[in-house]
Amino acid sequence: MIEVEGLSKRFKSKQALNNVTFTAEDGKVTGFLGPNGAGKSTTMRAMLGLIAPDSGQALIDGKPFTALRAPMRAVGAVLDAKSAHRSRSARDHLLALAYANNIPKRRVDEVIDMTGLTSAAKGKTGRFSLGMSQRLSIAAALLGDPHNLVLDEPINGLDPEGVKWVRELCRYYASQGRAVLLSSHLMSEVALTADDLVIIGQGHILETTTVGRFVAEHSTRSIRVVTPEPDKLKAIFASAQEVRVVSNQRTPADPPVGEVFRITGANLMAAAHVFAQAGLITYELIEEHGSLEEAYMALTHSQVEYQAKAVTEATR
Amino acid sequence: MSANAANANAMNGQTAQATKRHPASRRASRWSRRIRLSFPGSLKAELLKLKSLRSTWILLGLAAALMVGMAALSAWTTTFMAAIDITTGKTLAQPKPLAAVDLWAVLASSGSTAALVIGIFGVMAITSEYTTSAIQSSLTANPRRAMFYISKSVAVALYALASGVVGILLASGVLWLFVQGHDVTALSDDQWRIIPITVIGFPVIIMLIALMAVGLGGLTRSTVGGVSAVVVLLMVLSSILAIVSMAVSQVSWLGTLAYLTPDMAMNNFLGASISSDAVSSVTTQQHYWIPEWWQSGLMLLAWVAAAWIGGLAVTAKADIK
Repeated sequence: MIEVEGLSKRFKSKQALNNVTFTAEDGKVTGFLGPNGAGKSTTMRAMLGLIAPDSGQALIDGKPFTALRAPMRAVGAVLDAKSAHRSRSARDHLLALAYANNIPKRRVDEVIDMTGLTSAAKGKTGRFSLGMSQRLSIAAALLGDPHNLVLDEPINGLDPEGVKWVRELCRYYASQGRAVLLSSHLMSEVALTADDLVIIGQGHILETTTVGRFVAEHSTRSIRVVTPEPDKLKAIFASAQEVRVVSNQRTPADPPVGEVFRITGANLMAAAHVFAQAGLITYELIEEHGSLEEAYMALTHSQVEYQAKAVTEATR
Repeated sequence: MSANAANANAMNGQTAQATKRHPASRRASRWSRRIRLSFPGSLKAELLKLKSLRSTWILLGLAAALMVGMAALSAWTTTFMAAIDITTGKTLAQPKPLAAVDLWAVLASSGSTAALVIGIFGVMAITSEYTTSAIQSSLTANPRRAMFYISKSVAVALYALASGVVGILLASGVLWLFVQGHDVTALSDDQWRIIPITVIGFPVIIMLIALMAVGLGGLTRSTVGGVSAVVVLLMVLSSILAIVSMAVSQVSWLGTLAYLTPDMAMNNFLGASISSDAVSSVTTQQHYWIPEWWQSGLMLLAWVAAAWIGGLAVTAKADIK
């Protein structure tokens, strides 16, 4: 279990973290979500003692990371795809990390095998592609068969098969009762893998929730209609206060004729009945789910605006 | 919620598949209890890190080659000078006997150029961690930064020491070849100390220079900065002070300051305060204070301690972004 309590950190001119508090529980994948520069990496680095926070602390299974007797057994971390000396072979890189924690040599070969690096293990890491480097970083994280996984954007640079593999790995570790903290700037990725959700923006925790709750709260439904009779459509909903009919852009999937509308606040079945009764000609009638990505963008975007206002107020 | 249900199904499938892929974890529980961070393990890791880089072998090889090369050059000069009459320039029928102290001095002074290479080795051992981001994985595997820094220093020191020992042995061999066929006079009673100073002091000095360089690398955390600092401390500083003190008679005490710089301290220590024709010596003509060999040794030790402790302090505190 990873507990982050009131972490704050200021770099020269920027407040990178502001009272960041959350918990990554055992047996769950916790998605750590935020746009670039929101403070995800800084938080993870502070957890692992790479950055000294101004205040607050992070506990790994109840202890600060730097106080652990077996750090690699407690935490496996992927902080950066490129975290090996370019002129060292992948195997030597892993072997050196293993030696420091008294991990047997055969475990090195195991993780090389698990991450599919067997054929490249003797090659210099400087020649690795981004995806291979990412696999090497993951291999290093798995060396100690850790009880907690901290993965900072682990799917960057991976091919679809690699992405799927990382997802399975996260689920597998969580299913074994371990804590997995997975950062990403992609909502769609986190929604597929995570149970819990921590959203960060501008160094503040914006929301701590579960994926299920976030989906339920933020996925608005709408109806997409293409019709040659726009006036008739508007007339149908003219008296319904809660229903909004908005003109929408045509996509390649839409029929080439008629006008495109997006209707929110109406039930699909009810709308279909009303259209039939009114004799409205429709070329297309689809129910759409507002994407999680949009909800997440709205959440983090408002945070940016809030910050901008705060600054102008402060200078006044 | 249909999406979530689909997710759950996918998860179950994935878990089953993942379990198949990671059979290792069951066996892992047996050895994972023995996992523990320790200084011997950390040192072993640092030794492997240095061993696995080609630059280590190039730099240490170059350092040893420079020691041998410098020894060969001065041995050749010494034997050549012994074989000619300096006043007429003609070759003597019977070469003059060589002074043993000169030969030892040849050996002792053969490391001053190599020291610069060793310095670069020491700097790069630590700055390459920062420039390649390897520091992240290193400090995640070993978050006790003082332990990390000390084990890296010990590893660098051991490699440098080995290079110094190999260098001095090869240089002795080369010198021995040159001296064949020459008469050698014995050391006088007050010159005996040059033997331990050369045999033990030389490799130790090479090791100390490496440790100072590790400190400078830790302080600057940049290869360019660290190497520049090494070059300034081992070449530039003493030259500037010596030149200024020679050029301006009023500030000749700067000459004493020059003796306090790391490279002059190193050379003065290895010279063992014995005047010898084989190594150019300006000591006798100067009227400012010149430290004794052991004082220079302490001076060098102070430089090394200051740089190394500074590097430790920065390494222990600095944020790794």
